[in-house]
Amino acid sequence: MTNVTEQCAHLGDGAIERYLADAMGPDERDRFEAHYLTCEHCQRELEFAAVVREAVAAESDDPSERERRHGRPQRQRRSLALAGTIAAAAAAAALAVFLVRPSVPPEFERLGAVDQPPIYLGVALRNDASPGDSIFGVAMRAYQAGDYRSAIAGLQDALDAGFDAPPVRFFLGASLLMRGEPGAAGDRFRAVIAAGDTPYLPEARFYLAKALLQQGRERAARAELETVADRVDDTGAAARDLLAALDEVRSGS
Amino acid sequence: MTEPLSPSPDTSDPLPPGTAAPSGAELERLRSGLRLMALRALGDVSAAEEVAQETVVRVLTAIRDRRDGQRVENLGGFAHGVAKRVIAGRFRERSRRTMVPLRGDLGQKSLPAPGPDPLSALVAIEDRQRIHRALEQLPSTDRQLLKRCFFEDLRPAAIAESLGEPPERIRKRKSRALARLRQVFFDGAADRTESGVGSVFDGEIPTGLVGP
Repeated sequence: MTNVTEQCAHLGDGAIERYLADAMGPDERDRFEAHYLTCEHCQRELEFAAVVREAVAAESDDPSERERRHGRPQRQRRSLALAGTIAAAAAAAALAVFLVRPSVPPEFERLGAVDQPPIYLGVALRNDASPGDSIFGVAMRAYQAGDYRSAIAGLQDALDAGFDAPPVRFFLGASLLMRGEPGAAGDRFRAVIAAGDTPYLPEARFYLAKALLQQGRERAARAELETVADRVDDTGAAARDLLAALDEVRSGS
Repeated sequence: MTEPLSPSPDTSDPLPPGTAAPSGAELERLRSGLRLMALRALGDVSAAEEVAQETVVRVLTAIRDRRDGQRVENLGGFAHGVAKRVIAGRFRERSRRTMVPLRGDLGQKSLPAPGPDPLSALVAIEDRQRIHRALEQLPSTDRQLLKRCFFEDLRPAAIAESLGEPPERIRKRKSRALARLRQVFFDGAADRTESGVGSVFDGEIPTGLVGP
């Protein structure tokens, strides 16, 4: 089989998953790519992980569609016939388990919900210059139209073309958040935060808190909110409101 | 092995010391890796093949022009830099093509759509179907864990925190689930190779999966 080198062992926990989800920082991504260009083991692992990722994504489809597509062995069909006679609620509960994280209290999910996406004011108004406006501009027109799927694709294009600017990361995170992917969104917001003091920093912290709440991570969300709660702007006010709401949840009122 | 062509300005970057022509096996491994990297970036199998070929040619040209007979030290790093420039060039071409008067769909057909990972297009249909079936046989808790690993928190430590479980238990569950899938994937590929059916790279490209 293939040789596993020391560099393969140093890839780290979940490195391939993060690479496939574009959650690696640019330096880590470059190192990983330069490594697997000459590493057969990692190339095969990458293909394997990509196939698993695709299968996992397909599993999120409607279960009746999944059953129609793949069929079931005879003994499972008999089991399903039995289960089907017990109650339709059992199937609904199974679907809920699969689609909803039971560990996230509903109050946190509600507070983490984003009804209105972060507003795109235009690059000039945020006082930063971003090259590659053609790619970014097309993506942001999709974002403003609510087509977050296209926005994600376009913003990813911009990143892959080397336009690794805070607005690209920020709105990619926003698009992912609007598409219901809080984990991936959180990673993008963290990248914006890691870039330092940019016009996107306060909102990145606020929406990272939203993403963390959607994942049930209240303490981490509070920590992010508290970093911006002192601001005398809309972000500060929103952070204070959200912290107060979390206090109410805690107090049971 | 190398094609005669004029030196490209993109290969003017200094080569790592001691870089010489790779062996046949090294070259094939490099080409395979470049195909993966380009497919990841571009989401299009044919474009990825072109990028891989162009990058290999540029790398070999740079090596040939050095007239240095020492062994390879950092072929991967150098090839990676060349590949990034080639890919960036593709994006610039694509951005010029997409700057047309906007239609209602905002030029969606010109942009690669997210969804199934484009790398999976390199894997044979039957191997992918085998993984789908094997995944369905896993307990729902393991499927849910893999979903979170690949699409949400991406790190077992963060998943463990949200579930209130020890990180090591999450790592073990993930490792066991992937081990079962890995056995199906790699054993299936070995069976097909031994039977002479073909390699896992003979993937049929599903319609709608890849870009223009």
